[in-house]
Amino acid sequence: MFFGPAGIALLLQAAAATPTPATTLADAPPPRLTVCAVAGGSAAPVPGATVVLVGPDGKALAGKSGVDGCAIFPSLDVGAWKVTVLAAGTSPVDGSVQITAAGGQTFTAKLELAASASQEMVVEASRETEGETRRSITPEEIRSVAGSANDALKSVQNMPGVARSSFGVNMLVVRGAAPGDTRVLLDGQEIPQLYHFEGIRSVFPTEAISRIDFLPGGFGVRYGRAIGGVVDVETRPARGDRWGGFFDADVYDAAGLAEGPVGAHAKNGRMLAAVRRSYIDAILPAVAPQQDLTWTVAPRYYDYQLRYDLPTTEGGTQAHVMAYGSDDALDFALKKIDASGLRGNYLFRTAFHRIQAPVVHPLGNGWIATLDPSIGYQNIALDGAGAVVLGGDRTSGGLRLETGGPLVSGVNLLLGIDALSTSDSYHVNYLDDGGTGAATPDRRQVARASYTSVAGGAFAEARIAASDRLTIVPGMRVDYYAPSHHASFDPRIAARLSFDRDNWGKAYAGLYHQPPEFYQWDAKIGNPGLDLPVALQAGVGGGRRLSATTSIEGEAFYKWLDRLVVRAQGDPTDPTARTTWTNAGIGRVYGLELLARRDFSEKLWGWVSYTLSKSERAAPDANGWSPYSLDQTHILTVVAGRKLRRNWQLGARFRYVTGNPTTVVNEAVYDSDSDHYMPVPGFRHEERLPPFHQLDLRIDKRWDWSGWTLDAYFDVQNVYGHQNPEQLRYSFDYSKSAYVTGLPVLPSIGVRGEF
Amino acid sequence: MRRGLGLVFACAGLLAGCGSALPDPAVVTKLRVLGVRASAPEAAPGAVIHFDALWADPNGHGRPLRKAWAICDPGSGGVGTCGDPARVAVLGTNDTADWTAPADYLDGLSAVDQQIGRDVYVVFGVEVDDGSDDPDLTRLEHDVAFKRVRISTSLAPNRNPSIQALLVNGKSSPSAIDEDASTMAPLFAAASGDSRQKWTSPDGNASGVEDARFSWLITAGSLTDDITYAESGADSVSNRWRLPSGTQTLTLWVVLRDGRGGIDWRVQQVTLH
Repeated sequence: MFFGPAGIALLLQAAAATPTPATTLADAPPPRLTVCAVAGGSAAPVPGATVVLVGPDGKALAGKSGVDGCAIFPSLDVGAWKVTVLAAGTSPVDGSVQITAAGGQTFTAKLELAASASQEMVVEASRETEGETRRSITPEEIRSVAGSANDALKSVQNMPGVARSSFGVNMLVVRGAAPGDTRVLLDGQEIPQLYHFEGIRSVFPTEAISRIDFLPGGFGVRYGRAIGGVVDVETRPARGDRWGGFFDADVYDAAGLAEGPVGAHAKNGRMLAAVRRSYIDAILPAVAPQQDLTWTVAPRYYDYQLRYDLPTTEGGTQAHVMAYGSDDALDFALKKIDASGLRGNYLFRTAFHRIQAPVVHPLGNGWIATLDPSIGYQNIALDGAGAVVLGGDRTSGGLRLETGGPLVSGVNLLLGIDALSTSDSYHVNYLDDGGTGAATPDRRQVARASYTSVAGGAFAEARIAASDRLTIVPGMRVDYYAPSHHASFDPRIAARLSFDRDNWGKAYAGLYHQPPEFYQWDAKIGNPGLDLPVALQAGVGGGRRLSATTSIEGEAFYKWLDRLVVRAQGDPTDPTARTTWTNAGIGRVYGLELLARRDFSEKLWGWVSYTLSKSERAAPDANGWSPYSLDQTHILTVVAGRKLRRNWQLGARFRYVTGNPTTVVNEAVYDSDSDHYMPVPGFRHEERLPPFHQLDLRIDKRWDWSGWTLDAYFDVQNVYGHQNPEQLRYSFDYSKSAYVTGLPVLPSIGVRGEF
Repeated sequence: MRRGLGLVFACAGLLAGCGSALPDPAVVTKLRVLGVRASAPEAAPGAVIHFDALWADPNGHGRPLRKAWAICDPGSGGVGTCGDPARVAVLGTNDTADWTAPADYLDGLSAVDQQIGRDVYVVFGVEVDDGSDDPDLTRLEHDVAFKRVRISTSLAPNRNPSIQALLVNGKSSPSAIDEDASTMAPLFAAASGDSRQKWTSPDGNASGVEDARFSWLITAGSLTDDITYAESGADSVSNRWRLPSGTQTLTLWVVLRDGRGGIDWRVQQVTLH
């Protein structure tokens, strides 16, 4: 996936040339025929496709493609065989292949979307490769999950291992790691910003992606510079049969997408363009009270995506160019003093624009190479009523080069390098109390500087079929960071054991490093002596396929976090003290994840996700181990959908989550200089908020007309109106407290037309 | 750059519901310290500094109170470490206290750092005096406050601002108000013209003019604003007080702060007819 959909497909095809336990029957002879199903546009593998063979004697055989999109037929008679490959929503592919005595033939079926089918390829849930924990969500599922607002990244929060964020803010807290420890990649490149306003909406539309892979831990060496998890979003190419698209509108925004072939029969490629714009700015000033604040720019956002796929060359080279971006802004003046004692102007603006251009080229003998350059620009401006004023620009350039293929029989090799150069130009003006709580105006810090950094990594991974049942994947990754001159070495190993066709087990262990944030490393406002935070991740798990569409899996995991960057306590008597950072933080996370899932292809579909975990942190000034701020012991999510007649569909989501840890304030001292009471906290995170539970319901109706369809949905979050405590709020002197509760019953409606 | 956007979280919080109402900080209903003043918020080594405090006990009906003063050189844990007796020197138990900044307090610092200075904390506590010597402070109604005092060789040390005028209902000494209780009594306060000093940050990168921040506190009723700032270039502010019903004596406190440790206050009692 790092190199885009075509890259992974070709890699998997190359890998398929070597039998692996995942797709090879026990004790089977070398395969006579391997049939691989790939998406016609993206060349992504299509698991679950039905493969039918008719032999020279008229005998028929059938099989299903596995996680790599391939089905293996180990024993076939010599002669001409007819091949038919079928998958939901696509046109069948017919062909023939001559089976020889030596065997080893491969037939690849490129499945094109049926003219009347949905624009997305419905991909089966599991794309797990050997030993790696990879959970996938399809666009159809995303669009149907109640309470997720048809939002790609929000849907990830329904997976095991992801903590719930307060107030609907969609931080990705994966297996007890900090939100910034998880990388979100779009076609292999990190997305500068995940959501509009940190949670309202993903900056990328669900309709432009082919799938989301969520890797909560134990991921391979392709993924670097993250000690938490990885969310791997893969975009899709435009359809090639005709022009089409959709429009979509709900309470927040409206979006449209158009796509189709360029030239007759897509001889000049395919084009996809999409845009979205909010209209909160038109509504909010009319309904929000004006006496306390004045909007200069009411909250508004937009995003855009443009993808052009060049025609595949005769040599099999595939390439596309994708440009995308986002822009958020709000600006208001607060007339009265807020709870923090601040007043004045609040400004928030962030924007980014990126271009990626991956090229995938077959090298022969099952090897492929992918080159993926990218450039980007990002801008941020923030004014927190004068307490913090910052602005910054970031330009970045990235490059990935990856190649893989069979090395010897039973061994596939993956080699790659990746590099990212960023240049940050910033200015900040903020009250810096040096960590002492004494923020008087003359402790104001002003800095204007730039910080340029380069992070480069190289990785190698082997996939070794140790036996028919056991695959071992050792890998190693090295990264180097300039100008800090730090280097890291990440050895990782994973193994998968197939007990039989339906039961499997796995284990993994490895080291993971990531750099501090640039401002923590910057000499002007941070500590250039910081080292790289590191995590040791290990896990063991297994799964069972109960039927063609139903499966269960479980995994126990452990994570040790070291050299975490924490704020250093300054000298409260020193007016020159300024905030700095150290590597003094440590953490440990362990738990158990369970997932029972039924595919979207069923009338009754959904999943039950449960996480039992404990995430703790410790630092020198802390009193031993304490729960992480988003440590949630139990996270239960039940997602269900039921397809009804006449294109009706019902959806429900129920969540039960242990309340977040909270630090209780038992005493407070009045700071006469700032006119605020300073809390004297008890033990850190000693108590917890009450548990969160919420039921969301959704109903969808689709109307089909000639050439286009119309979907309408009605979604209600928190149906039974439970007042979920999200935060403990104190009186001015901390003598009394009350809960700040979450969202009330929140209905929303939307319509979506597709043509 | 996508981390830590607390502003957005705050906006998200606006959409959320809040629990039961919490007490209005402007209404003083129990024993409470409203301000601590040093005669010189920034003083040279060897200088004698005089401390006094503004406290209120509106429902105490003159009950006896105990006070205590201490000076604290806090550890890295901030004022929380002032509970450590090793860091505290008791200054007295009167309404006011005096402290002489050690002449060698800045020894060892460079000349530049001596001009920047270092802070000490003065701590003031007040509690109901029940005649007991039980040191458990939490058993009785009490309040504890602190303020920073900078010891430096600055050539332009910070000094306290001063309130020049306080008008209630248009009068500087309104012993009684006959207005209808439902009306909003206008309030006006002004700092003296030289209250707002210029300041420069220790690294010299930032500079500005001090705030003139007025905190308004009352015993009953409600205020339009708890805190008002004088606009840039101005020294005065206005406010409004919704008076409670019924004949009673009310107290209004106005505390002026410069944002750097300088402070002044005025108290006005009003009988409502």
